[in-house]
Amino acid sequence: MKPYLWTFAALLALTFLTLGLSYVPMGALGIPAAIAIAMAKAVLVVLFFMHLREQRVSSRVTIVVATLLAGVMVILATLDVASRRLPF
Amino acid sequence: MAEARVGKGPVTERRREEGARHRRREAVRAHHFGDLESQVHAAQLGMWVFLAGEVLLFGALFALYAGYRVRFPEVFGEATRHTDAWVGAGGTIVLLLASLLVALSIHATREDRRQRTGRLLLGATTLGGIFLLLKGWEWMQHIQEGLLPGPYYDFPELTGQGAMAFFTLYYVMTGVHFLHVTGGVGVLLWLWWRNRRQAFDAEYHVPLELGGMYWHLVDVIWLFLWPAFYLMR
Repeated sequence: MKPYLWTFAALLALTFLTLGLSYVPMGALGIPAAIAIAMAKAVLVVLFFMHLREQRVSSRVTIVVATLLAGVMVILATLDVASRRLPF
Repeated sequence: MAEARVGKGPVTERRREEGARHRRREAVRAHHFGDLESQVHAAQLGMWVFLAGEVLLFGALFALYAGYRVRFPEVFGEATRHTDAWVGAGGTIVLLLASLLVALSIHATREDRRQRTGRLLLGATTLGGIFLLLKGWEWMQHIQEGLLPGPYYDFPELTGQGAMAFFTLYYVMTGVHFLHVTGGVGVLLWLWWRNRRQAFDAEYHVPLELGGMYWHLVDVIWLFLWPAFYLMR
């Protein structure tokens, strides 16, 4: 039972950390910091609450590949719009 | 099958228990699987493939969000000030707590503590309901302010180009997530009912594990929606 409670405590701590950081003016670092904290929380939930830690490799491949592809999709959309000459 | 016994030797209490466990495993095993482990693994793999599809669905929506955010960075930052970070934080904590209860309910089933599983599932269902009410109340607030999607947008404090796009994405993405939470609450209620009918024990509780995985994924998606619409000022 303990690993679950520790996972929850870590998730709660990260939640308050990202909430606090959102009030700190960090300029260009603000968005990457919020995304990094959200990703850390997601990894904790997937590994411990969803038991991916104790499952076989083939289960890991599906969700890791889908997450990477979703990331590629977001990054390419960002690069596309950011590199256009306005107005488009 | 009723007389199936594991191995040979005198029938002791421990051997009788092993026999009961073996019969239970055989009763839930589909005949085309060689053993129960393969069956459980196939079910988990299938669930992960489904969840991978969900990740891609929300991935596409986040790609759209990222594209508009890069195009209208100032307006998107300004628009985020018009959602309440603390209401979002409340939703986050409610969903994380519900996830903890679901994880603990599976842990309780692995220890054959059925009543505890039932109580934890009911707790998680209640928290899911609280999240839905909170989100519904928040939408009502936005609607009264004129923060509506698409052509219905009517909010005089924020009129720059991109404001409409922000709130359209807000309603679409939190709306699709809301539908997922609603489905998740239904799944949790069904699992509670199945658990009450003694469908799960330490030997076999695949539906409970898979339903739990779905609930956790819905939680994970909110972990990204919260910064996107409440925190990135």
